[in-house]
Amino acid sequence: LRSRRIIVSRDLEGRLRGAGEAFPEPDPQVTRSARNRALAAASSRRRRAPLALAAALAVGCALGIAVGATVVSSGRAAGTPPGFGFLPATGWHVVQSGGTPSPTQPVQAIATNVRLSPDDDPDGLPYSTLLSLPPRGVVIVAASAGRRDAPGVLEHPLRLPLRLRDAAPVAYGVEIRPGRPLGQYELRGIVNGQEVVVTVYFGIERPGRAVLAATQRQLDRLMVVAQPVVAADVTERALPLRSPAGGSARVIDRTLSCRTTTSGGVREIELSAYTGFRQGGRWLTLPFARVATGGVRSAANSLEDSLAWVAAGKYDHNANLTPSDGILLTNATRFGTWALNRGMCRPARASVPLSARGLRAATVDPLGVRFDCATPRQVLVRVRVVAHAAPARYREQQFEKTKASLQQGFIAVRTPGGKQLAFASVLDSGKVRLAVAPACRED
Amino acid sequence: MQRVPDRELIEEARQGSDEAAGALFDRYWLFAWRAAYAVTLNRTLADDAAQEAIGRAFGSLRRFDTSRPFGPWLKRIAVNCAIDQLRQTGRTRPLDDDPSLLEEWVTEERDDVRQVVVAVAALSPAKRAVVALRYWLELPFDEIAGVLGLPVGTVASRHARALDELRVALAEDHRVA
Repeated sequence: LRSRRIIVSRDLEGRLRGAGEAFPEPDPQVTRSARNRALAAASSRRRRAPLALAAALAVGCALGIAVGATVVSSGRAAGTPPGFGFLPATGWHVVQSGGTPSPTQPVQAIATNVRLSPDDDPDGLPYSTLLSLPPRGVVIVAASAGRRDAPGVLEHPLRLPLRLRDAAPVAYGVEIRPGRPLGQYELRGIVNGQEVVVTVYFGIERPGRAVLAATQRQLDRLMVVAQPVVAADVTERALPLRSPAGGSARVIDRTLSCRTTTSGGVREIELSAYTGFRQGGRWLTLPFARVATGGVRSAANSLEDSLAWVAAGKYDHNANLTPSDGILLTNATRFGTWALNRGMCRPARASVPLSARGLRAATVDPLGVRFDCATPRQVLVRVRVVAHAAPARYREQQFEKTKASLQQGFIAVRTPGGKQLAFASVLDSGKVRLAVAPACRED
Repeated sequence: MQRVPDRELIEEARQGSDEAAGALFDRYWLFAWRAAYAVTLNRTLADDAAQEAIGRAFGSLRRFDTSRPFGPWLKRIAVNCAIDQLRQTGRTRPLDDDPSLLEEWVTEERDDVRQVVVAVAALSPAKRAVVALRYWLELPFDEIAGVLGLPVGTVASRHARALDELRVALAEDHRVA
């Protein structure tokens, strides 16, 4: 029996090795992107060489020399945007990316109470540092996408100093370290006219009071357009954090880079929205918005070409997502109320405002409205939903979905170059908005 | 034409030569991507992991010890990034339900390969990683232990259990066929 087993193992091992010889090859577009990334990484390291100068600048800033206009704690001194960054608190290290902030190229500042890993860049997620973050370790990542005069629907004005207690737990954010989860909290809003997102990572999910107070002291030193540091009650601002099980655990907020496909030789996306239809207090069709591409779908699944969709409202098993033609049904229980096409889209770190600014508003009714917009090869799609309860997600074919009933859903689309293409919002009250770029055509 | 040694390309890249950095990339990108694919068995995850790995490796060229070979170092980074990707997505996204797997790797003409890949994809991520590292990246047990952060004995037992499961799965396939 033993010798037979050895023979079978050799055969199996041979088959396993043989399978490895049939590996596929990477997509040429991915190869191009990786090449750019490699060259950028190599040159970025060369630019970061003069660390001694940067350290001197950090000390200068810490002493309050020209506060605001020269908030540069480390990294590249030249080209630093005036007034965005951290002054280091005692025992903290700060670094910032430099550059001019814009929606497509945010600038970033990082403050940590541990050493930043040399593998991490100041303009990316400090992944290596986070992977090894000790229990009392903290990393604060602040990003600015530049000036925003009019806040979007979810972007509230915030005042400095920012308060840690206002931060929302990120339950569905980047799962950095599933084995030993980090505590992850986010503050997002308009600070002194700049669109700012601050993410705070703790080494454990529920940090102690001393760590929170120390974090608040560093957060007090975030400078956005030359605001003076205000001495105030740090402890009051730092406590308590809201429980991840509440509030924002009901929020899913994703930004994805999605491939577009051609329809009639033109690369385009299709935006559609429906106000929904109620009868006897029950939704027959839910307030619904969708972004799709290509228009190729099977007879049995009219949503197959979707990149994403959202549907708001409490519903029962009779509710559909779109009006039925008697043949094709889009039952909400079957299709889900939120879906992302993970086959066509991958996570992106770009900023996509949830705003209709600069777009043309469409009139939406229960029978729906559809627009086609010409696009480049990729578009950035941001989808944010607020559920009535923490939504359970599941995978069905290429889609990631939930069937949870949603209070609100938002879809925003822009090109990688920064051109806003569309914004849609659906509310469980039945209010639905769709706004598209002027160049989009009604279908 | 004579191949420029990796060490020279790395030195030139450190001194600012984009051409040298590009040549180094061209030499090793496919290698890194395949390492990531072997672990994830998923094109999207492999794309992300390989790009992350190449970014980290090229960002750390200045610290790289040129007395050591570049390829195995990059392979280690790619494998670690791929395992991180698996860990991050494993909870919400079972990889073996990804239809792209069969379409991209195995073709109708290679039914023997198809059976093996399907069987490996059905293993748990922990066992699949050991199989991928052992047979597709040809790492010895001690290196696998280093990459996965496990004792060598654990790697060996996972390997044995994975082969047992594969043996059963492939035998069943054979019976069905």
